[in-house]
Order: sequence, then C-alpha cells, then structure tokens
Amino acid sequence: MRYDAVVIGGGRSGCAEALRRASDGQKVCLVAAGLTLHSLEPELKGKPYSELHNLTKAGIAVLRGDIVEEVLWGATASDPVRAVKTANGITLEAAEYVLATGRFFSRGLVADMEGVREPVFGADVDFPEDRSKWFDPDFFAPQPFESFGVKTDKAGRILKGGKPVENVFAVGKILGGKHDAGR
Amino acid sequence: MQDANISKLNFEACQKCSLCNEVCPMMAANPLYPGPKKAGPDQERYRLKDPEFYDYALKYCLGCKRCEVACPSGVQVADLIQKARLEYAPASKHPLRDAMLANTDFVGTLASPFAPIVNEVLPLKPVKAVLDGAFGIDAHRTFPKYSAEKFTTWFARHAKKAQEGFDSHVSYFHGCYANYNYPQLAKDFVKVMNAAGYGVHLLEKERCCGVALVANGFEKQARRQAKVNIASMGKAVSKGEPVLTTSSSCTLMMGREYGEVLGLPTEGYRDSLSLACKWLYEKIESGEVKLKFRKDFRMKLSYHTACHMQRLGWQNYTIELLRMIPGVQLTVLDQNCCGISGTFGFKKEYYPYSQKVGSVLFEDIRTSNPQAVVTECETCKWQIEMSTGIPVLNPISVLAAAVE
Repeated sequence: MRYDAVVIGGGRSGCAEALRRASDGQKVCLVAAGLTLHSLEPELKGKPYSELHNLTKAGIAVLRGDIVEEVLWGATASDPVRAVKTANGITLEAAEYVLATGRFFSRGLVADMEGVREPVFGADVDFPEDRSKWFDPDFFAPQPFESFGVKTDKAGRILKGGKPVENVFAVGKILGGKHDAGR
Repeated sequence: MQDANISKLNFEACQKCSLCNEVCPMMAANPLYPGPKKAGPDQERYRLKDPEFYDYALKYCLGCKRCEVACPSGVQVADLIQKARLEYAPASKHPLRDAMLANTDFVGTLASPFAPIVNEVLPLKPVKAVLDGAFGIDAHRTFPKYSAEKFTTWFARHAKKAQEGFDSHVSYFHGCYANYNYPQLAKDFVKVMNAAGYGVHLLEKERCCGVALVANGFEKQARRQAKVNIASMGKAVSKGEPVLTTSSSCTLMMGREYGEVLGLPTEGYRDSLSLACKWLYEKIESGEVKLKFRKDFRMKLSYHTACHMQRLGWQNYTIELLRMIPGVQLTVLDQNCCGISGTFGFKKEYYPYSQKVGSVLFEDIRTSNPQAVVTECETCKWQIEMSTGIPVLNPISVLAAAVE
C-alpha cells in the first residue's frame, strides 16, 4: 500500500509524529507492535493528549500488532528505502519513513554480545566500545546506556555506514545523546 | 544460545504489562474468566510443572486473538490458551452437540439435500426447545439456512467450463459456509474474479479448515483435514496460482494456526494464501487489474473488523477497496468483538456471555445505521444479523453488486 509517510512505532513520539503529518495533509500509516499509545496509557486520556484518541479519525491507517520485518532498499545500500514489509505480509511504500521504535524496552535498540544495534534499518548506533562504560555500578546514578541511540544528521535523517539515508528519519527516545533518568 | 531457552510460543517474553487483559472482551463480560495474561503465560508455567494446575475457566476464552494483537512483546497468548485446552481440558458435557457443531462438512452434506425441510424445521419453537434441553444449543440462537444446491454442484454445472476461457487463474478455497449455506458468496467471488480477468479453479480436494474442530477439542480430526488442505493448496501453488479465500477465520486457520497450533508445515503455500480483498487491492494498485464500477451504485455501509481479520492485520485492504467504489458511503466501526466466536455462542452455557460481549458493537452498528454491515467473517454475520436485524455482507458481495 502507498503512503506519504510510514511511521514505525506506536508510542508517544510515533503517535505525535503521525498526527502532525496527518494534520499537514499527508497520508500516513502507523505501524504499532502492540496497541497504540492512547490505549496503552489510560491516564493520558485527558487533555492535552486527547487528540491521540483520534488516530483513525485523523485518517491515519493504524496497523496494530504488526512490526516491520524487512526493508527493501534501493539499488545500493545508501539509496533511499523503497518499501518496508511487515510481519503480517503487508508491503508499505512511502516517500518518507519515520523510526520511532524507542529504546531497549520496546526493542528499538537491541544489545547483544556484539554490541548495540538498531534492528529495523541497521542504523548506526552511538555507544562506547568499552562495555564497562555502558553502565554505572551505582544503581541510582544516571546510566550511560540510557543515552545510547541512533546517529542522525542535522535534518534528523538516520546514518547508515556514516552516510545519511535520504528518506528515513528518527524521532523520540531512539535518538542518541538524550538522557531522561531522573525525569 | 539464548534461543534454546525460549519456548515456541514465547511466553517468557511476557512483561506482565496487562495490555492483553485491557483488550480481552471476555474478561470485561465475565468475572469468572481470569484473563489472557493469567490464562496464558502465567498459568503456562504451572501447567508445565503439573497438568493439575489446568484452570477450568479457560473454556471461556473466545479465541478472538485480540490479546495477541495487543501484546507488544510478541507472546502468542491465545495460542498458549488454545494449546492448553487441547492438551488438558476435561471431556465436554455435551460431546454430541460439540461434534455436530464442529463437523461442518458432515452436517452440511447431511443437511443440504433436505435443505427446504431443515430450514423450515430448525426455527420451530418445539424443535428449538428440544435442542436447548437435550443438546445444550441455546433456544435464542438462529441457525444459518442451508442451501438446496451446494456451491460445488453449481460450479460444476454452470461455471466450470467458462473458467477455461481465461488466461490466468486463481484457486478458490470456498469454505463450508459458502458451500453449504450461502453459495451466493462464492458465486459473487467467481463474478468478481471474472470481471478482474481471472478464471477460478477449485482446489483438488477441500475439507473444512478445522477452526471449529480445534475450538471444540477435536485435534486429531483437525489435523487430518488440515493435511488434505495443505496438499491441495500446495498443488495449486505449484501450478503458479494463488489460493484465495473469502473468510477471514479460514485464512487465519490455514495460514497461521496449521503451523502454530497443529505443528504442520505451511511453507508450501503460506505466502500464496490470501484473502480475495487483499489480493485484488494489490493487483489494482500495481495496475494489473482494473475493475469498472457501475455509476448508479449507491450504498451506505459500516465496516466491522472481525477479530481474526484484525489478527491477520489486513483490514485496511478491504477498507481501501470499498472506498474505491464510487457511491459507497463507508463508516469504519471501532474494533469490538461481536461475541459469537464460531460455535461458542451457540452453546447454552455461553450464550449470555456471547450477547454481553457483543452489546457494544451492536450499539455502534445501530448508531451508524447502515443499509448493510460489511465483514469477512461468516459467524459475525450470523451474530450481527440476529442481534441487530441489519443485513451483513461479505466485501466480495458488495464488489460483485458494484462491478459492471
């Protein structure tokens, strides 16, 4: 299916981004692994988040319970993304893609023996090689791994192999360098 | 390394967030049901230790799979519950009734030749009272009508020859409902496919997909029938034909549950199995198919996303396809369960829950006041027609009425 934008991730940032783009008149598809934010956080049902109820009313195609499994790249790896394929077998084509999959808990970032990676597009991730610098032994101190995230250029496009991918943007917690411990 | 420690149904990944409980329609209607989180991943740990821990209340699970859609961690909650029921559930108190409800092929073959009589007799009050008292089929429930001529008979007599005039073909899994009860749907499918420039082949052998057998605990028979379907679909796919269906539950059963619940190989056909609406939309989008619609077609419709359709995640294809028809005024209803859950709502002990679960949807439908409700699921159709009095159509029937 063809859209102006495909937003991957149904949390706060993903929903906000989808709504912003829809209100600009774009045809938007939102892919959410589970439910979307409004159903996830009942305490947000009041203002100022009330607009989040209205994803479908804003004309956004919401794919609940689905994840992006495969990325169809252009001819070379640095080319823009042509389409993404979901676990339910849906091919989504769009002019722009927005990565809003969050950090570790939502598996926007995955840490394993090799390091930290971003599983959807394989974007460059900002983290120190030295594992001992990933965390602070003091449990209550701000933890360094909380500021890991994908690298972007100034326009918010993700970097892959050091080069920006023309049509993939990142928003929300998956962005590197942010720190929200103690919030 | 870690993979070896993770079960196939992924229950270790449960974070106890309770989103599944939030969306469970049965939990909201029935305080006796512990909810998908407890019934699925929580109790699985105990069941693995000792089958004694099997909770009788699992019988209330509708199998709607909304918990799986809601789960952000990919736990197959409903499959866990279904598998536990197949393995540990005590024998049914109404074995004959369950067998009658689940064996759609057998009952359909039996009822079809006597359709005019069966259709007259089943709605009679004394008959309903007997079914209620002796069998445990609730007297409030309306039975679907049987057709005097099966679809397969009609196809062989009137349509088969004409199909060879087309260059490309699709294979059609019609399902029991279109064959025994409502052949018009299958005829509509043939009409739409022919209008799209494709001929229709039937599968070499087709059995009921077995969704009702699994729900009623007849695992062995389900597996037997599944093997027949898998072989037939594999043959169609090897000829280069996609296998199309018009029922969301059959599609989910064959595309997913054959592998996940029955443990059968699905690789041979899985990617070629599709709902007719999804396949059509993709063909139209790629420009391979053009459908010409009547200019004078007018209809006010409400789309109901059946639970299994939501699990497939393909509802947007149908919605967009319906929006392509000029003259269709479409309301997309909020995603609520109708409550019937196949054979579940026929059973006397569950009927009240079934209606309670569906009440939200019925109210929504009445408010939107359509000429017809559109949904892919045949049992939703029975439930909605019985409970609201508003006719329910398969999207393929809408397309058939709208094409030139």
